[in-house]
Amino acid sequence: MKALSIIFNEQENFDDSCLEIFTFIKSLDKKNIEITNLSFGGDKKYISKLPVNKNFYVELSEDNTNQIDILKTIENFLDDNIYDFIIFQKDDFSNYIAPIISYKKNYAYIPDVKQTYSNSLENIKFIRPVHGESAEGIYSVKKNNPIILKIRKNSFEKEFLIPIEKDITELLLDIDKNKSFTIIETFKTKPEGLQLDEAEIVVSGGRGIGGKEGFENIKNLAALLNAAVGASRAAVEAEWIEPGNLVGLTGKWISPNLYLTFGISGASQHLAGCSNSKNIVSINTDPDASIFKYSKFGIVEDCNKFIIDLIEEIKKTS
Amino acid sequence: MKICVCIKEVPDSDVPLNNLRIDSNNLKVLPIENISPIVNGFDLNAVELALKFSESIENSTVSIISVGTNLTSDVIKKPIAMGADEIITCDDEKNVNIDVHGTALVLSKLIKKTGPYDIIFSGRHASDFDMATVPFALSEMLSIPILNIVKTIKKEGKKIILERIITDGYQLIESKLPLIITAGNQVGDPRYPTLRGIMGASKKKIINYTLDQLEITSDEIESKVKLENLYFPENENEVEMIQGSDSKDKAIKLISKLKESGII
Ligand SMILES: Cc1cc2nc3c(=O)[nH]c(=O)nc-3n(C[C@H](O)[C@H](O)[C@H](O)COP(=O)(O)OP(=O)(O)OC[C@H]3O[C@@H](n4cnc5c(N)ncnc54)[C@H](O)[C@@H]3O)c2cc1C
Repeated sequence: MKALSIIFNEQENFDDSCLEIFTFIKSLDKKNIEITNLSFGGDKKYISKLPVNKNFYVELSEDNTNQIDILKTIENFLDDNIYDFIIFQKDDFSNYIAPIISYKKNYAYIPDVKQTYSNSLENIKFIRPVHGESAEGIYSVKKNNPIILKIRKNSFEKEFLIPIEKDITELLLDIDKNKSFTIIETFKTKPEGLQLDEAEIVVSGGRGIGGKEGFENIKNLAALLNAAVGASRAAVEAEWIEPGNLVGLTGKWISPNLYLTFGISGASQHLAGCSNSKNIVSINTDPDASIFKYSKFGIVEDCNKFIIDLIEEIKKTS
Repeated sequence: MKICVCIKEVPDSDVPLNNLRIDSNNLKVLPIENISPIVNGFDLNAVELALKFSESIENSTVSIISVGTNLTSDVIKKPIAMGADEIITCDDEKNVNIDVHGTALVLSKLIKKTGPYDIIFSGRHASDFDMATVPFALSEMLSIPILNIVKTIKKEGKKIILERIITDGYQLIESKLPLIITAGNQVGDPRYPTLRGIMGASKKKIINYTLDQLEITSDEIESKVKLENLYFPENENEVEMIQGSDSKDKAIKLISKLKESGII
């Protein structure tokens, strides 16, 4: 079985969440796998330690990499090489490129795969969440079609890097001169403070927090706990907090050790981004709120009063 | 400028988890009660973006295009009530289990039949199956470039200038036409239909084409990927509700619980 992983890293960074891909690939076939990796950007030192058989690397020079050039490069790469599985992660480039490549190459495509099971390679079933992650669907692919898969974030363990640096083959980005659009400028607006995907603790506010002032309390508590600030869509749409703080299906996908929610109902689309947290603690006035069904500890209380008490008590004990 | 917006009728996405059921014959997640379907939320954001754009350009028309089975007239006409000009559908029984591949194919045929359009809008994904695939498939089928999750679009002379949302920020992009763009909630709330709009929409005739009229066979809309089953995942979590005399008392108890279990 031949698998190709396609990984995007911004500039010099190495995001180790890509290591989930290799655990996933090994779940497809334990014995006979040959893994090729095609990386765009990122720290070459780490990429040369990926647990793969062949390793290709394309340097990305600037912030304004046009997805059309990446698309062209992958398309050309696939003209010369055939794989049983091509695996992407969930990120801006993959969300754009994976479905297009599937149509360009006439391959099957399944996004957001969180699990697979099979009794043979020809008969693999793929599980993916549907309907805002309220339910799951079992999918199969007809015939012996090459399959493009995009895996769901935080759904697989991270495979280990190998201890030595192995050879990488460098490829050039195929620049398409006749692109119909050009990226003039990229603006990065990272939320202030600790980043959501780096933090061990995340303090998150929803509609129940009531306003911008409420988020000041959320930020104060986060600062006390060395935590990042999260939010539901209701809070982001009310402009109480920046879009970069959104957790959920259309926001950040996180798995902190502790996820503290204040006035969040627990819609499935929100849970999508946080249900892999090790411990969820929720404060909500409604004893029947869905969020409690996913929490380790629950407290029925006015979250705006409770957060002030909590801040005070933490200050006392530390 | 000739503009179209692709929309989808979906089950209400605001129904809480415990009020959902699975229709195992048709493999769909539906509300327990008889709650009216809606136009996919992101598609309404796309309608809003398209209407704003059309208002800035003279002689623009906005056509709404949709594929489905037994579409609910009042629902699917909502964009007309918001201000769109016409609605074209392929409402056909044979579309009952149509997936992303078939949907994109039928949309592409409807677009070829009633177009060409300068810009095609759609939502970033549909809230029923969250595939985020149809607009990209459409882009390949029509050979029209695509930009996803666009927040604003304006015309400056011959140029089209767009803001595209990325994970930690946004990009300023200059593009030629024709173009496919997808929209998300960043566009802002879709406008409410006016009373005049609602009256107008109720009189508006839906222009429908069957699969036969579009010369599409059932084989052609068949997908490589098959949905075999749907279920609700089990949730074995057991919550411990922290009781206390008042908010302060509960805060103290929570801190000690978190310390006891080594969480903080
Ligand atoms: C396609 C799609 C994608 C989506 N993507 C996302 C996403 O990525 N992220 C996301 O978050 N949402 C997303 N949503 C929206 C989601 O469905 C919910 O609407 C949203 O998460 C609700 O936010 P909320 O919990 O803050 O608000 P609500 O659902 O309104 O809940 C507010 C909660 O606060 C409680 N409350 C009120 N007052 C108080 C008080 N004083 N003290 C304590 N509790 C109080 C209430 O009991 C209630 O439980 C998406 C929806 C769709 C259709």
